[in-house]
Amino acid sequence: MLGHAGVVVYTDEVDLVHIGRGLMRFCAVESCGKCFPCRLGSVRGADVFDKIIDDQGDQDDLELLAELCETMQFGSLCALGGGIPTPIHNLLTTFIGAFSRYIPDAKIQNFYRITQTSLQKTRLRMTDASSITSLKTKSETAPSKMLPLHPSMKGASPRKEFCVFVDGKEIRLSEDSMILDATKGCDPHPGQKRLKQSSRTDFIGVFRRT
Amino acid sequence: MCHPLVAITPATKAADAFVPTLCNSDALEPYGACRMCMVDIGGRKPVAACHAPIQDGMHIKTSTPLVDRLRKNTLELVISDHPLDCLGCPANQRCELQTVAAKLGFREVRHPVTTTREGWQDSSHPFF
Repeated sequence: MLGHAGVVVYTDEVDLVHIGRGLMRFCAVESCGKCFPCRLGSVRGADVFDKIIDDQGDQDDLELLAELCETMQFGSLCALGGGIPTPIHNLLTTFIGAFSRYIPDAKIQNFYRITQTSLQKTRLRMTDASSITSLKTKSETAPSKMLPLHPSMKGASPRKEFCVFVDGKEIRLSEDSMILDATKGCDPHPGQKRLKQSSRTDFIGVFRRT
Repeated sequence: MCHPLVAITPATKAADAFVPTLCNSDALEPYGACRMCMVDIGGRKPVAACHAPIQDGMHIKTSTPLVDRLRKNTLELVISDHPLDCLGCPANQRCELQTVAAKLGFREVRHPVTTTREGWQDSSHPFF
């Protein structure tokens, strides 16, 4: 796959390393610049390709490129940064011979990273079903509790308590306390009295405005 | 059930879990740019805790091999684009980037930095 939902045909004489460099450059130009892995990763990826094309690359650069692919693939916010590394990944696995022109004996020794994580995930899905079911029962045994309504909140939907597990630790948070926590420390008009929390919709309005 | 307003971050804060951030501020809306607060929620991809909606019964892992690698590599990218002039910087010793780099055990930038920010300035129009 090259690009997003596109097919590009090249002759077999084309230098795939230059294609890879062009892809990274394309991503650097097209990136909106919001998330770091795409904005910086594409520029640094093009730099690594430049170094390889200048005959100054070595094995470490290939591994760096593999790691960069992983960072962009899993770290990017949208599908631009997430999709650009796919052809580079293929270049590093299937067409690794294309690098031999610049790096003698080009091969990736430590290319366990991307493949291993995806393997681990499938393995977890395939074999370790018991752990998944145990997780399920855990969440079933800890059902969320409805909190009683405050008198001022007539007509509003009942407040809900959330139960999540952070690193295996059970955390119970009521919805309102979480919104309070999120607004803590952000006083748009310091010194002035804060808006009274007369109803939940009002308060959510304050949250939105800040 | 997921909540449209509340992200995962309050839960990780309540659990005292270490989740680094670079773009988060209490005074701003969550933006999700720095990708340092990635957590594993058992899905296909890790998500950014600051703006992924929280879900009842969610299992959040703040430290997995993949998430740790993503954080370190993203930090490396950030520092590769950062002027490393800490001694002349007014934010020295009170710097979020320094804190996160120290906590993640950051060592070195492996990237060859040939393209700098100045090289990418768009001067195609006098307005820029």
